[in-house]
Parts: sequence; structure tokens; C-alpha cells
Amino acid sequence: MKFYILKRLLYLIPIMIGITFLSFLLLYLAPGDPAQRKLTAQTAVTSDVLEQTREEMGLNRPFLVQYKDWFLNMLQGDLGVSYKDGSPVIVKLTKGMKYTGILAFSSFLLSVVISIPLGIYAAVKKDKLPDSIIKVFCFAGNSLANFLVAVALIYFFCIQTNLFPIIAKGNAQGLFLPTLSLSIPFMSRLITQTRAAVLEQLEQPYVAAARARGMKEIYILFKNVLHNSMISITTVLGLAIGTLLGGSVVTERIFMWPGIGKLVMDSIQARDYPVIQGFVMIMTGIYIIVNLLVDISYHFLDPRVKE
Amino acid sequence: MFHLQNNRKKRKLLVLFFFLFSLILLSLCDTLFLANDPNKTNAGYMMAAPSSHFPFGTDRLGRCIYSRVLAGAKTTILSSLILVLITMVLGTFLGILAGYYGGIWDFIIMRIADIMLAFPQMVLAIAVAGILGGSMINAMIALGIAGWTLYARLARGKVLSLKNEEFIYAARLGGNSNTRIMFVHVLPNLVGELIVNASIQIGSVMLGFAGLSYLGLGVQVPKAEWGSMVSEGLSYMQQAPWAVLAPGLALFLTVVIFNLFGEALSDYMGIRKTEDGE
Repeated sequence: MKFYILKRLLYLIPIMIGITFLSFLLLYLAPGDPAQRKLTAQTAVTSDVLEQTREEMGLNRPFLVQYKDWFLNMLQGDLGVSYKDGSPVIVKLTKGMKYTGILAFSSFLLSVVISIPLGIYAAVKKDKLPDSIIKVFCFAGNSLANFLVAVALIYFFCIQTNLFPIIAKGNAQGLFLPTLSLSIPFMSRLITQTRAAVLEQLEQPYVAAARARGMKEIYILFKNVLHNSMISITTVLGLAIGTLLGGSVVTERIFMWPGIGKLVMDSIQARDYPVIQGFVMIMTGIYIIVNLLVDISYHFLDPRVKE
Repeated sequence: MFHLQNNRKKRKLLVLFFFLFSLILLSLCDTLFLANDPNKTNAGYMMAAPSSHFPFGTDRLGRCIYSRVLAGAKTTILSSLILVLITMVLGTFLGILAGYYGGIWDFIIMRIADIMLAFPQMVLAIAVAGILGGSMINAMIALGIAGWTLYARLARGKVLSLKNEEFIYAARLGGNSNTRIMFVHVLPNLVGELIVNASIQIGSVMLGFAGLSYLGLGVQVPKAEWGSMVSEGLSYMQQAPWAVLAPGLALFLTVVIFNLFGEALSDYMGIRKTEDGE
């Protein structure tokens, strides 16, 4: 077990280097001169001043040296400073992360609570009416852009019925619509894949054997089938976190939710590249950690994984 | 019985293909069906309700929404198709290379694929498009940068299982070059699975494009695109709901048709789609 975790962590090292390298390259390739960007607030930039700033920012050093320094700083939690106001990127990101975390977590919770029972139900009722209805809804959900879900929700809840304010205030009432709009496309995916995972188990010979011995259907379902489909469901959950993280940018923008997604969109408009880079690093970091936990959880869910 | 079922699948596929084909045709010859110039503003008809002159009404600048939805079809459908084609060809090529030669090629290509898959896809796309600046080409780069990995992994896996088959040995004994074996003997065995996966992928690529355009990272104004039209219309949805409804519905229905087609095709060919991260 310890050995396995260690192996997984070692495997992460080249991936981490690749990810950071790519993120750094992105900033390096960004159009425009960073020194120029930093100085645009001031008037009358002479070439001397520009050259001096470039020297101060270390832009005259070779690419790999710059990457090395940036990487070492990053390991210490220093993601550089914002071009716009010179404040540390990490401070800006943690402030937004709190709100994005709340939004992503509540959407995740809502989706899991609704999707997993529905997926199981659809699998048990395969090809019957409830399954067909659920399937149609999932198909529609999979074909909907998440901003369209948000627009529809705004239309019904804010314009037609006036039940909720359009602009979320960062409180519990404001959380409702963003959570719902982030969850709906996520749910349809989760239901589809839970259904597939449970169906796969239901077709296994051990289920037929258990039935033949006269075991109650409900007992087979909860005692054996669910336990065995847990591993695929957990994998799906881990991968789906990525969708949630990406989708939060759109949702936050529509509902003015003050999270990291709104921050990154503002930064894109202001061409504040270090913040965009920090955003990629932090989101990818979360995604990697979640999937690492998923991998480790296999050990508890499936004894066969233990070598 | 099997024959009958297969016939039904075939019929379903043909019907969907007909819809799909008309959609592509429509996006190719959009100019034939335009009612008005999609980019022409008209101060006299701002936010006008649907009428015979403006079938879907007009937006805040008096532009004909029907014509803009049609022009947007061209942008969305054609760019998605082109992107899927490019990523499929590139990914397949790299995957075959990795699987066939193994060793260092395999290591480098598959590690790069691993790195690309370690990013949440939409997060990477937003950052790349955000830093490169909004344009259709940049949006394609942003979405394609990780898109090829699906095909590369698929092709590699297939090549690894085919590599030791007798017909490959025979081809090698017959004096065929490696390139010829890869592309003449191996590739045809992959095509079915690749096409099924590509056709399933188109819908989500379209949603990706629309998402980036919604955020202002896709096409630039005044060019019509469904995602950016929805984003624009949202601010005056109360006065002119058609400005949001028409492009939104067009996007939804197009993705539905493409997704249905992908599903029907994989059903018909009896190929299950490869599970993918996002």
C-alpha cells in the first residue's frame, strides 16, 4: 500500500514537470513584452527604463534559467505578481478559490445525491419506461452547452418568476442558481455512466448465480452489485471533476459569482498573464490530487488491486 | 432476427445521416438562404419581433437574427469538423508511430499525451485561448492541443494488438517498408473505430467552441457565432428573448443531431466508444 502510493507519487514527477513547463511556455509565448506590460501604467517609457525593467524582472536571462527560477518559486507557493496591480497572484487566487470551492463542492454534492440513485434505478429498470425517460433527459443534458442551462434558469427563475436575483451575491440564496446550472450537464453524464457501470455488473454470471439460489433482488443489488460497480463510479467521479472545474468559469461569469473563474476572465481582458498561468496551475493541481485520491481509493474498494 | 435489427439500425443511421448532410450543406451554402446581410445593422428595426422580413426578429443593433444564425452555422459546424479531422489525422499518425516503433518514440509521444490529459480540458482551452487572444484559429489550437490524445491512445492500443498478427509478419517478409506496413496494412484496420470515435467527439467539440465564444475567446465581433450571439443577447433577454432563443436552440439541435448520429454509427458498426476523460 505504502509502496503503491510512493510509486504513484514518483510517476507524478515527470507529469508535474511537463505541466509546469507547458504553463511557463504559454506565458513566455504570450504576445507582447512583459516589461512593457508592467510599465504601461506609467507615461513616457524610454528604452532605458524598459531595458532596466527587463533586467529587474530577469527577462534577459535564458529561457531555461527563467523556467528553473519560476519552478523553484512555485514550489514555495510563489506564483509571481500580477501585472495589473503588483499584488501576489497566489493571494488573488486563494481569495477566489474560496468561492469556487463552495460552488464546485455544492454542485458535486447535489449531482452525486441525485445522479447515483437515478443511474442505479435506470439500470435496474433497463428498457422500461423510467429508463427511457431518464435516458432522454441525459441525452438532452449531454447536448446542452452549460451556458444555455444557465440562460434557461435565468429566464425561468429571474425574469419570469422573479424568485432569485440574477446577480449572485455570494450568499446561500445566490448559490442556488449557479449550483443548479453547473450540476445539470454534470448530472446527465454521471447518470449515464452510473447506469452503464451497474448494468455491466448486473450482466455478470455471479448475479445470475445469486438469483438462481433464490436471493432477493434487492439484496443482490445492494450487497454485491453496488459494491462492485463502485470502482467505475469513483473513476468517473474523479475524471468528471475536470468538467466541473472548467464549467465553473462559464457559470461564474454568467452569475457574477466572485470565484476564480471570474477572476481569470477579468485577467484575460486585462492581459494579466501571470494570473491566467496561476489559474491553470491551481486548477490542474486540484484535478491531479483528486485523481490521485481516486487511484488510492481503489485499494479500499477492490482487494484485487493490491499486488 | 439479427438481420431485421441490423436493418432498423441502418435505417436510423441513414435518416440521421440525411439530417447531418443537410446541416453541413446548409452551412456550406449559407449565402443561398440568407434573408438579409447578417452583419448589416439597421437602426430602424432594433430588437424587432419576428416578422416576415426578419423571420427570427432582430438583435439590439437591428441585425437579422435568422441570417446570423445561418452564418453562425457555417462558423460552428465547419470549424468543428475541421478541428476533429485535424486532431484525428494527427493523433492517429502519432499513435501508429508510438505503437509500431515502440521504444523512445512510444515513450515521448505517450508521456506528452499523459501531460495533456493531466490538465482539465476546458481549463487548458480557456487559458490557451485567453493568452493567445480571441480568434477562431486560436480557439482551434486551444481545443486541439489535448484533443489528439484520444486518437493517439486508440491507434496505439490497436497497433500494439495487431503488431504480432500473421499478416503483418507476412507483409514484412514480403519486403514491405515500415511506412508501407503502417499505412497500407495497419491503418485500414483502425479506420472504423477512429471514425466512430471522431463522430462521437464532434458534439463535444462544438460545445467547446461555443463555450469559448460565449466567453469572448472564439470568433471576434461582428462575425456571427452561436455562443457569442447568446452571450450578447443575454443582456437584453427581457426585451428580445428571440435573440437568445434562436442561436441557443440552433446550437442545441445541431449538437443533438451530431450526437445521435455518432451513437447510431457506433451502434451500427458494433463499436463501443472509448472511455475518455472528458
